[in-house]
Amino acid sequence: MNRAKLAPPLIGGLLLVVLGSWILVSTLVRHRFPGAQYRQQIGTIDVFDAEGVSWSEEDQLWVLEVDAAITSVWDAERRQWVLEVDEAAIAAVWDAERRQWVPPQRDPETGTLVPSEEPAVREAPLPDRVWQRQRGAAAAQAGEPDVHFCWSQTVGVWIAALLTLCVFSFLYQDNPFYKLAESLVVGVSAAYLMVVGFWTMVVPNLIGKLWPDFVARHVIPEHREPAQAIYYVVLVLSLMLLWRLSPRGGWIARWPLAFVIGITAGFRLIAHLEADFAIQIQATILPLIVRENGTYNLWFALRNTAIVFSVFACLTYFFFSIEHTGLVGRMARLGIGVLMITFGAGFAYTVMGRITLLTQRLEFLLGDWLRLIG
Amino acid sequence: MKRTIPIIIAAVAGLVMVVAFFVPPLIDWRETAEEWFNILAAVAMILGGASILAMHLRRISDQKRGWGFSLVTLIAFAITLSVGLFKVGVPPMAEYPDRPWTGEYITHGAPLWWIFQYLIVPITATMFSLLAFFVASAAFRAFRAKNAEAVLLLGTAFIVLLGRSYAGTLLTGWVPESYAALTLPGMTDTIMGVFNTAGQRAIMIGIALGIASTSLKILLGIDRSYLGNRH
Repeated sequence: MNRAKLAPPLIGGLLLVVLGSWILVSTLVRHRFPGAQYRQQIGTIDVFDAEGVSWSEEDQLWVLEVDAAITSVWDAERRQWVLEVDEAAIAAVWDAERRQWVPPQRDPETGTLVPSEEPAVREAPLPDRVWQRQRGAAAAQAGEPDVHFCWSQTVGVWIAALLTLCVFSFLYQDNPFYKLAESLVVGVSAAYLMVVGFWTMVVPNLIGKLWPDFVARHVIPEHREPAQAIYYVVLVLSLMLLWRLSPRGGWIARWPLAFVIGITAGFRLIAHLEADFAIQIQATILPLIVRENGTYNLWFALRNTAIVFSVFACLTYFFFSIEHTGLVGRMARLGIGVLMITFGAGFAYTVMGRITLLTQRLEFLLGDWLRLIG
Repeated sequence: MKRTIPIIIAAVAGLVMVVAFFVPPLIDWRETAEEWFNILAAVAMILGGASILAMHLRRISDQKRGWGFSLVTLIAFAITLSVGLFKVGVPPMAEYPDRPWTGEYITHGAPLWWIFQYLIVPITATMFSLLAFFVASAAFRAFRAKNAEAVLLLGTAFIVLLGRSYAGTLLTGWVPESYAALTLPGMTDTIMGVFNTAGQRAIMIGIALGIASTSLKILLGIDRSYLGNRH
């Protein structure tokens, strides 16, 4: 095997050895290893499924009832079902801090039900599910109370770092590692966009308009919109759009597609004429002689003249109905010059933007992952 | 029916949007139409997903070269869609713990958040950052100062790159305050405020006219390319 073929695996192996040594030293010396993530627990969300336990929205408490009588009442104003709890039937309320059932008492200030200081009520159901409410914690906070090592996010940082290196490997040449990252991001991004579309658009704006009570009761408690039968039209259009997946009758999908195209065309026709045509022309109508406090401002006058003249020159270049010869040709040449300056500035900004992204990725690799900086 | 009705739908929907700009009482119509558009756009994503599925399934069944990567795509797609649609690992809202679906679909710490944070963000950001290398390499090969236009483009890029970074201040920091316009940051300000503004304006005016004419062709039924071919 020649040396050129041996070089990449040798360099890769060497990097792995260096990385492994670094992890070992960091773990032994600082009791932390690269990419380790920590979380701070800030509370819990307890969920009870047991019979006789219900959630009181007014008091923001789980209540344990003697006879398990829960009544649902339709709140016409809020347009949702509300669980009404008979106060006389409440045997205990769940004290989330002490994590036990205790007799209830009324808060004299707020008038709401709160846990009392009395001894716990025995033989009551425990939460069926406990969700931990957490927030991120810096590595320096490791060891503090309620700060825990987080496996999922540590694995996440490592995977993110390895994927970053996979993508960077494309700089050498196209290779399976890059293709792996590429395939992964295609699948994940497509599904992510579908999920975002479903939860942010379809649920509140389609299902929420057709069956608002269902959405308010199960998904968006703050949803307060009346049912609108006209949205069945959108439902039908949506189903027609999906008909495109059928091997027959693909033309049915043209109706909703035509609607989308028509809306886009109508909206853009006016929006672009207003924002990109009229306003840009208005902004270019500048005074060529500028007076400030009774004196002439030569700099601003020159600046305004240059802007007006440059816009005119560029538009002349874009105007193809007249042959670009003579005076028009010279103006068009000037227009090309101004456009070149614009493209040069755009190129510089693009390069700066990409370099900023590159430094962010290097910061992630050297800071969040290897902890060599920051 | 297959072609005429879609043309009428496009024309009516578009004209409602146009008229609503000029007739304030119709503004509600415009908002409703925009909402319908957004819903249909979200539903159209299902078509996109189905297209990806079909394409990669075909590659796998045909065992085409690199079919393993298609398998990776499909698995990633299925996992992300499942955890996202079923809100896997998403706790309910603290105010409504009795309603398991009330939590935000991308709650911090949930699997979908993890996928976004540790898969989508690093890969896409790194892919875009790769352009820094390719742009530099392409610029080195392509930006030869062969004529006046190339000199203008190259010179502007050079001045703006230096002027918008600390290097510009460092190199021309000795220039007196009264000649600030001649420093690299000063020249960058002039380029951005005068020539770049003028060029951008002309481009935007051109784009607006182009979009307006294309939109009119669609609304008037002259452009029917969105209907596909007759067969």
